[in-house]
Amino acid sequence: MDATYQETRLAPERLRRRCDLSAARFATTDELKDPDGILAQERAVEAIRFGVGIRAEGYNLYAMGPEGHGRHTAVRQLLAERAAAEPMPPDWCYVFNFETPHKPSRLRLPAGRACKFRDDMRRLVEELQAGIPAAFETDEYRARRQEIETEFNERQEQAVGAIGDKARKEGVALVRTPSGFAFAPMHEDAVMEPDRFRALPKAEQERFEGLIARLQEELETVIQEVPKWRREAQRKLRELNRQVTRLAVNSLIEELKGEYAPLPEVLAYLGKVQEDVLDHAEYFRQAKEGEPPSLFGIPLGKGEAGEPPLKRYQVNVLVEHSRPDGAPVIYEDNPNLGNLVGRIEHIAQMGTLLTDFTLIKAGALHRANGGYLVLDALKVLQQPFAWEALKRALRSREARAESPAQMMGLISTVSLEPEPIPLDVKVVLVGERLFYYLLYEYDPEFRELFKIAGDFEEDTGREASTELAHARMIAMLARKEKLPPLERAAVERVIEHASRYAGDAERLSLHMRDCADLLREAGFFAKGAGRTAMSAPDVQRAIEARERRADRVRRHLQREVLRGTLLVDTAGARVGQVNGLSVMQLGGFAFGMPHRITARVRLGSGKVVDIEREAELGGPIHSKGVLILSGFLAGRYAAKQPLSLSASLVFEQSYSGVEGDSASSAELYALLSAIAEVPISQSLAVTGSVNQHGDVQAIGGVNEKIEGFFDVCKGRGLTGLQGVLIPVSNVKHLMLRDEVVEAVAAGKFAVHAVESIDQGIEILTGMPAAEVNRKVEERLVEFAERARAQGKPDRRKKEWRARPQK
Amino acid sequence: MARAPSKVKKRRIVAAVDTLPRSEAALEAAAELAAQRQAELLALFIEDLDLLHAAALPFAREIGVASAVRRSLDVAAMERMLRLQAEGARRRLAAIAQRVPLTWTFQIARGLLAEELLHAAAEAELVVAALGGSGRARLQLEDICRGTADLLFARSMREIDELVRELRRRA
Repeated sequence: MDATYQETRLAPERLRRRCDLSAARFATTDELKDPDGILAQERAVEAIRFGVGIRAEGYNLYAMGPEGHGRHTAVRQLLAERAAAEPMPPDWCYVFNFETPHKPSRLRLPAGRACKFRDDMRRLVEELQAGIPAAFETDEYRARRQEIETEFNERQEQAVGAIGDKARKEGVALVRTPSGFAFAPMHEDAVMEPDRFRALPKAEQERFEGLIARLQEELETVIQEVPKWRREAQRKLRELNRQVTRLAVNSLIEELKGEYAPLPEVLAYLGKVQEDVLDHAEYFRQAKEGEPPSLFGIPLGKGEAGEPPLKRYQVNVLVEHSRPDGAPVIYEDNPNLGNLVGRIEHIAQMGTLLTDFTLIKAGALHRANGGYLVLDALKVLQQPFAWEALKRALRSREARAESPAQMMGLISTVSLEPEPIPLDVKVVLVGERLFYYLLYEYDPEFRELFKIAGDFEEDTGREASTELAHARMIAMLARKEKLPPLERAAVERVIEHASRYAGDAERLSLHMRDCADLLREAGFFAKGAGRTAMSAPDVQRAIEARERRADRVRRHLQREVLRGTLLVDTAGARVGQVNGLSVMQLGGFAFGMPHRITARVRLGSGKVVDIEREAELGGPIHSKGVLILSGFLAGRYAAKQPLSLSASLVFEQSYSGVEGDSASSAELYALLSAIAEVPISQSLAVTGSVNQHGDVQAIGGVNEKIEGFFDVCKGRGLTGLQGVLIPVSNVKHLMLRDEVVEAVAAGKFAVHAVESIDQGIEILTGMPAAEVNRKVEERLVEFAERARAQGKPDRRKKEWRARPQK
Repeated sequence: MARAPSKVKKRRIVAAVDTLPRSEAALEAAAELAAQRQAELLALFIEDLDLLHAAALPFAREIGVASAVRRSLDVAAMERMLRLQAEGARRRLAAIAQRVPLTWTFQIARGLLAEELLHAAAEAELVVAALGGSGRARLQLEDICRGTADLLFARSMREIDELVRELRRRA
């Protein structure tokens, strides 16, 4: 008992593993180099290097791990290293498709040439705008054009005139009405007056009528010929236009062709431009002169409708790489459908939406083509249609700008179908592990497209070498964040915090964001105090300030314990009552609180009633713990006779759910105390789960639990008798606050590492375990005998009741 | 808009048009010349008697110049068409007068009324005529203008183009 108390009591140095970097011989982090590569993420780094190296279909990556562990930084660093050594991908443009205007053509140009090509085309159009009208201004053109027009007019007039002459010879006039021609009998060089006509003999009138009908037919056939002549004239005019413009156009375009001679795609496009300009020379004249365009008399804005004919010669530069920095590495922060696959924008004109190839905008896939695209998995999955579009692009290896409505086939209005751009991109998704496993399970395409997973560690082993590596990482973070350097003691303090964050004295958390936040906060205090380097107290102050900001609920609960609203004893002894410990997590802050656990027993059928479970406040793991302890009880104390007790267990003053089995040892102590009627010291609190053999097993949150009880005891005044029982297997996790360690060193508080229930019961009762066990056994035997004695009439009653059935 | 007639003897240009296509171009050119010379413009829209006579025939038919379709004609329809054309010509003149300072009057004459025109032409320095009607009009005009006014006459679209060029040259 007393021996056990002393044996299990942990020495203060085991309660917190100090970090000692004195061997590294540095005064501040300014003397430390940046770490080589990415800290302690060998597995993930290897996977990413491998995945990035394989240039095969489906070898895209998923970098998984919890947030804040530097996944994005690591991925970008690895990609940037590789991309810098890779060639720059080509530029891409969209140009007008002269054959099918609604399907703009793509044009590939060597990296950095797209903008020049665009400017060359713009200059070409400007020069054509000057050159073509000049060609039309020449006297030669004017004369030839007039000739064609005159020829057409004369042909028409001659044909009509011939009929007019013929009619005249027959005494009939051809008169021109406002919208056509009419025939009428003549009298003295003019149309016969109606009265005179009516005075003519009937036969004469009829002669005229027949004659006129014939002439009308003849005229009709002539007029029907007119459109044909007009077409002929127009064809001649077009040919003339081509002849006149050819010289101006050819010299300009041939010059450009010479410049782009090594690029057959561009040459083919320029050839088409040449033909099109010759066919539509009038566009270049319209743009300069003439009335503003109008629709049913309403003038249209010049910028909108005045230019379109020439717009077709523009070049829409989709992606260009003018700076020589290797393959692109793109991170798209807002991966919605449009930002991912590109979009076709529209402009409103007269209440309708119009678009053309110049309004095609590149998406992240276009920009990352030939390189790497980094996306946040959750963000892609949250955006409607984005995930499907991404998979489709990767599968078809084509980037196709499309609207969601088009993608789903919801609209049938004419829009653009740009020629898709061949895609050669490696996508790296960065996300939580959960999403990886869910996608793997539920999306068959995911497995095929994202074959490589880079799994990021949350913590790393804590040894002298890793501590130093961590120190260098801290040094780098401080430099990156432009913070003052850290003194060695401050670094040690940060490393200890990383260990506490990991909840393990033998491991270090790799939560980079938390580390960087701590440095920023400590840096704030250091600057406030006018120091040029962060000291250990600055770090400590930052840690404490952080806790203070988050601990409103903890304070509140502790206050209520101290005021006696929540009943927790920290002195004395009581039967069937023990202090258990629970951990609460709120936001990013976890804290421990003591809880009173009580047990009552009476004669019964061998059931241990878990009140939490009966009230549906206990979770399945908690229930499992209670069932295990009743197994232990029956196996150890009532192997040869029925367990004739009924016990109830409860977490007092717990009004919400209880989950986990970390209180099962405490519940067992309470139960044993209640059965044996031996009081338990209330100065102690207990944590640890128990198995059916009575071994005490590890639990989580051991540091928070010890500190939770310590805070309550401290609030009431430390007596020196107070302490916490923890499982031996949790000793390696201890990273307690300095305050607790100091109290233990001063003999004001104790932490006991317990292996078995017997050890624990000795410490709690101050009685040898054998004696407690004997008392338990005696009481159980007593219960069994009483049950037997009472059981007889019961059985008789049952037989009597059963008789009528026979 | 028309201005109040001045007591001083004004320079005058007479422009006579009828249904001949593009004759309004001649009218406009004459108006511009008049404005430039600060001359008064007397515009005459001449309703060709031949047209009205032809429309009055029992079997009157018109053949559309663009459609080659035969339509029946009557006097009322013809008068309506002429009125529309005259109104169009008047509106054009009004529009020109808004742009440039122009004193103008507009008259509709059925056939060529020799006395009126004689009176007008006697004071005119130039008579511009774009008339598609029967040749009688030309003879009449030549009679009126002989010795007193300069006559420019067009009776086909081509001649109108030449006439317009001639007017522009004089302007």
